[in-house]
Amino acid sequence: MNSTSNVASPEVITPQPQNSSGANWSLWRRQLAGVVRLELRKNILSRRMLPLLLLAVLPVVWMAIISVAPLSEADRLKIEPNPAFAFVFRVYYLKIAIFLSCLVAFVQLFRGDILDRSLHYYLLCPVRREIFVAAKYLVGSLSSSLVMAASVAATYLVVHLSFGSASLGSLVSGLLTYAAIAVLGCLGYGAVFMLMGLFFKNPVLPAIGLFLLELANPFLHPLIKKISIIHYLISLLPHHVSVGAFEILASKTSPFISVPSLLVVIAATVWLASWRLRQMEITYSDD
Amino acid sequence: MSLETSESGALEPTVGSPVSPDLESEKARREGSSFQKAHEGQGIVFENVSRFYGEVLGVNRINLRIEPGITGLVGPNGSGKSTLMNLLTGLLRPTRGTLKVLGLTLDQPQELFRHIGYCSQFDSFPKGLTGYEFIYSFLRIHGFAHGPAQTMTWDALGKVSLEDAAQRKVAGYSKGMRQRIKLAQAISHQPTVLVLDEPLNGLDPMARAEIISLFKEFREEGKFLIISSHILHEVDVISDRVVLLNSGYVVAEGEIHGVRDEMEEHPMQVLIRCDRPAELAAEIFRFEYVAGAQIHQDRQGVLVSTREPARFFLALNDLVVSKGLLMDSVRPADDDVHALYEYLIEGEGRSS
Amino acid sequence: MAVYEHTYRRYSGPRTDPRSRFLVIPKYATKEVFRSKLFLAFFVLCFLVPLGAAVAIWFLNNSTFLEYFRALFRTGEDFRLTLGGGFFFTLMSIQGILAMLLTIVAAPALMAADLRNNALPLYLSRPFSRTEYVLGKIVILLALLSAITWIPLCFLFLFQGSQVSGWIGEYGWIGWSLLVGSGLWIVVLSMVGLAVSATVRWKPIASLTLFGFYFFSWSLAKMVYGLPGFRQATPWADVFSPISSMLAVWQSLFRESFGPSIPAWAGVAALLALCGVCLIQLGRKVRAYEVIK
Repeated sequence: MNSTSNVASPEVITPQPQNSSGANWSLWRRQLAGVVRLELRKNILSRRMLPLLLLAVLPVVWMAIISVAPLSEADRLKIEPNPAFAFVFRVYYLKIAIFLSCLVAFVQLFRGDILDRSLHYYLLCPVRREIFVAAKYLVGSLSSSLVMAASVAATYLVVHLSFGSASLGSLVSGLLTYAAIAVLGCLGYGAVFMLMGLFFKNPVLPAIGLFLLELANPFLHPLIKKISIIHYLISLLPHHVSVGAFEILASKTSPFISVPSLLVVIAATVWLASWRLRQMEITYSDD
Repeated sequence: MSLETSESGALEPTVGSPVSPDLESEKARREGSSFQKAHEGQGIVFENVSRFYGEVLGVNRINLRIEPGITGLVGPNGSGKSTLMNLLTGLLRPTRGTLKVLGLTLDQPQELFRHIGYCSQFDSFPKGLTGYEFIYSFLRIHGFAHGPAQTMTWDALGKVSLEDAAQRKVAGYSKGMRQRIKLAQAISHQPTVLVLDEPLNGLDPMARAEIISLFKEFREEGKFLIISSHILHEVDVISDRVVLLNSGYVVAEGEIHGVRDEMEEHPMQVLIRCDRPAELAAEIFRFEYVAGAQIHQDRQGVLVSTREPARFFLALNDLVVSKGLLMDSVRPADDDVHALYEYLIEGEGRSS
Repeated sequence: MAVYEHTYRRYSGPRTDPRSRFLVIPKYATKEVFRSKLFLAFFVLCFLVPLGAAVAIWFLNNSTFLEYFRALFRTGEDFRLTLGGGFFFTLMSIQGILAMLLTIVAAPALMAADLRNNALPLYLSRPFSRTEYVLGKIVILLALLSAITWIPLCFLFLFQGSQVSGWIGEYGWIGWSLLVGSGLWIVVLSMVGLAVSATVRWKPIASLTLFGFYFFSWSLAKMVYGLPGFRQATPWADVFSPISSMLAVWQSLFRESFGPSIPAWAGVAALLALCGVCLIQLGRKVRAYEVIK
């Protein structure tokens, strides 16, 4: 390429070095954007997104089928939108969909690169490891949160528009609450799964352990409940749904505690992931 | 083409004017040059570096100092070449010892990797990217703005002659193309230290010649090139010095002829081509410092083994004059990497 | 005469019996499975419940303990705890779920690596068929799952029978239920495990797929059935969940009822259909060549 043959000397196009305070926000922002761009390019419209989309679409389709089912007026009246959606949200979204979609989206952020034997390209870049972790976490959060929040919103709307006649205000506030819980769930589980992807060769095994713990959460001692993510998410639910006769009721945690607690856990796991990445060695043969 | 600062503060290329760095790039240039000055003469230093994989030895007690130019890493499979390269690029950490590249340690990735380019042995790429996207994306991660990243991507692709295939998916490349795109990615950010693990693998003769001349170009620019290869005659042709590894140990290092001179247990072999080889062989047998002489297979020369080359060459001069021999050439026959490999590594294998 | 005709001599020594040749695969693959310490620990844990059940059976049939129990809880002299279908159904359910988790851990390692490393041509260029290859792999799962399902449960059944005279005569059907219930479940688990291992070539992703498949289908079935105000008499959506289908079959086999479920025949049909799909997938994936699109 003749047009590019007289590219500038390395010094001229060297990315800006750090300033005297040691921080270079402009460079970090560009590096973060660089990682996000590449990750989006790799993941969006890839086969990795299929399970996520399947998890998101199914409840919408199911509720749409029910809404057009030939039910008698009496049967139709029996379906109250708020408890119906609260049930779907707790049984489907909280128990399985958010968990699985985060598992799919976040575990592969680093483990996928290790399996593809392409992580070394990232590690050979002059980038702070915290920036890698933050960027990858951002991509995982964006993809899972957007898909799940959209699915929750769509299901919520289908249920309420088919079976209820709530005011616009309560409709919007309910929708935003559930979507926000879904996003928080994605952020919380996402951080944990990203960490698992960095620490375990087969992160699915500890994920199964976590799943069983979260599944058994309603039946655990109130103190043990507090070390799970689902407890804080359930605390934020606007409608209570009983999951069985043996459920041990624990006092709800206030949103002013549960939301910051989740955010602190997320920050701690992202920091831990950065530390792990700094220690990481590339020996693909072990994986 | 030159580079100017865009509105966002990033460096953007402008066409048609000579390189006219603005304030920001001037600052970068000053800092870049000051970096080079500050690190001049520091080279790449391994101090007592060992690396074990559990109980398996990777490399042991490596003490090396690598200077600018081309350094060839030579050794059989499993000798520790890739381990040494992975240590040098921070993909592995030493179990013991310290390693510095241009005065920087592995704990400073954000500074260190601006100066290192690594073409690794792993024949794998991020999924779904074209050749262009592969190089461009990582330049963006380095922190380069769109304009310079684009320019540098095309420049790197041009250096390995892959412009035509740039928009094709890497997954569809042939082995040689994959090797070249890896090389292009390693050189794209114009590093000072280039670590290349078997970079000529899978390349056809034309591409080999092009890449070798590229390496020589880098040498002229004062860069550090560390190249591992099994193709000994190519190492011989391009390397300024070699590091011979065997079973995780450095068995010899330095400039090829220097290493050869120090191997006293192996007499030097000299091939003399002349008009009367049989007569010459009979005469030189009389010299006490000649260990052996034999007529070459093509019967056009004599292969002489000597422990004292300096004295031998003086005596040879006298002999040629006194006997009136017509000489074609006199040259060392085992002063290359192949011979070093044979003596130090294969010989070692046979003796153990 | 060609050079090879001077040197090449076809092997004419003894060969292994073609009927048992497939056992070469489990011989080496079992080592690979047990190489993981995590798997070994989990495998050992799977025996804790049967061990606890054996201790419980012994206590419940021990006259001294029963006297102490009667005194402690002030029950009548004729008080006895009779072990029947409910006890074995509970054990079967626990061991069944553990078997499922064991498959999620062990199955992905069986075929995924062979397919990823393009090793199938090496196997199939020997006097070794695709069926034998699949048989060799499935034998490992069948053996592992048998070890934690019907073998310990049948031992418990016989142990209980040995403690109470006439118990086997009265509850003999439980033995058959254990064999049939376990047999069907371990075949389903093995087939699904192998099909996923052959389809998804990376071990962790295959584990993730298996895990997602079982729990996602189960949760979906629960959501479809349990919607307040829309509860049907029969939870037909359970046919899409192997866990719910199997539970329906077990309830029928052990003559127990824990809430509404699909008829046993529907559960069996759903599970057999799933096995059929897995067989087709294995047929597509286990080949000596691969078409790269």
